Amino acid sequence: MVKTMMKSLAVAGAFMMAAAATPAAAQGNLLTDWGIDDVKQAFTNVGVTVTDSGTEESGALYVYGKTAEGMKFLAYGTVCSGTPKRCKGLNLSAGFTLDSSAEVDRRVKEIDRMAVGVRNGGENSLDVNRYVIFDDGITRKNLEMNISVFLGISDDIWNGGGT
Amino acid sequence: MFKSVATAGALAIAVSFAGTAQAQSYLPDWGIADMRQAVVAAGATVSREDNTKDPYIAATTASGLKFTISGRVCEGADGAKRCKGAFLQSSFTMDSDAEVDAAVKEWAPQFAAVSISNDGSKGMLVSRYLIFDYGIHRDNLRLNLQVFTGIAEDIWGEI
Repeated sequence: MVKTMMKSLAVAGAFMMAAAATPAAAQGNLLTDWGIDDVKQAFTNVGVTVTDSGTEESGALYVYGKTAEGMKFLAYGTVCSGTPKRCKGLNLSAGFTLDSSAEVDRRVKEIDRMAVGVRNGGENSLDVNRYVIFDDGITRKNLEMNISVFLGISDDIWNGGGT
Repeated sequence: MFKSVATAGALAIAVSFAGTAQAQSYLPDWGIADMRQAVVAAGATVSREDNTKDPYIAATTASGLKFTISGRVCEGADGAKRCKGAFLQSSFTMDSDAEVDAAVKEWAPQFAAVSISNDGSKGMLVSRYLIFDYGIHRDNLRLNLQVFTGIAEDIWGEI
């Protein structure tokens, strides 16, 4: 199995992120939405190296990470608004290139991990994702746990497991 | 491309940081009464409950979609267990396993907020797993239920 990053996925929204004072909601232990610094901090706290971050042409926030084992993944925002931009949804995704589309279909059918979605992403890519909703509030530690669960399962799938 | 998951409200509802209020509003785990309350708040009707072991709720939305919620990573005495995870699922029966595979391939890339898979019994399973560790707001739980049932209803209406 060859490791690759999942293609960036465009999402709705077209606002540019601008540097400004951190909103009050981001200062405590609760998050009702997220900005780049919130996810960067969460990545660091779970032992992930941030490799890139910013705003896509479509306006979506994104943060790329790499685990200690070398697995690359992407977090990108959905339902983003404001200046600086903050997002209500966070999609964690990783893509693993297999030998053929048929092999991807076979893996999609055999993988059995309820906390993630798996799908044939095209171009022989087995895509794994977990979507986090921030509306009305989650704790920062809960976000970190969501990331840790996603990474643990993705790493298992990356190594041929997950069945 | 994944569809963006539109959620209710353009702005976040203000959150109280007072200790007592926070403890009441945030759930680091859930019991059957918490989930029943959330299901009702989400506009669905509870049709069956089982709290003898890990909590289980069967429910129906206003438009007739049937779904279930079952506890994962549960602790405590039988009848009073609290769980760190909740598995939401709804299944749609099809004529053949091949038809399910084709439907999974069509629908799975379209929704990021749910998992769509072949349940092995000629059913397409739509599911979402919720993690409660360290706390989510009760209204966040309600919204998660609404996002899940909204997507499942969309798929149900198209297949």
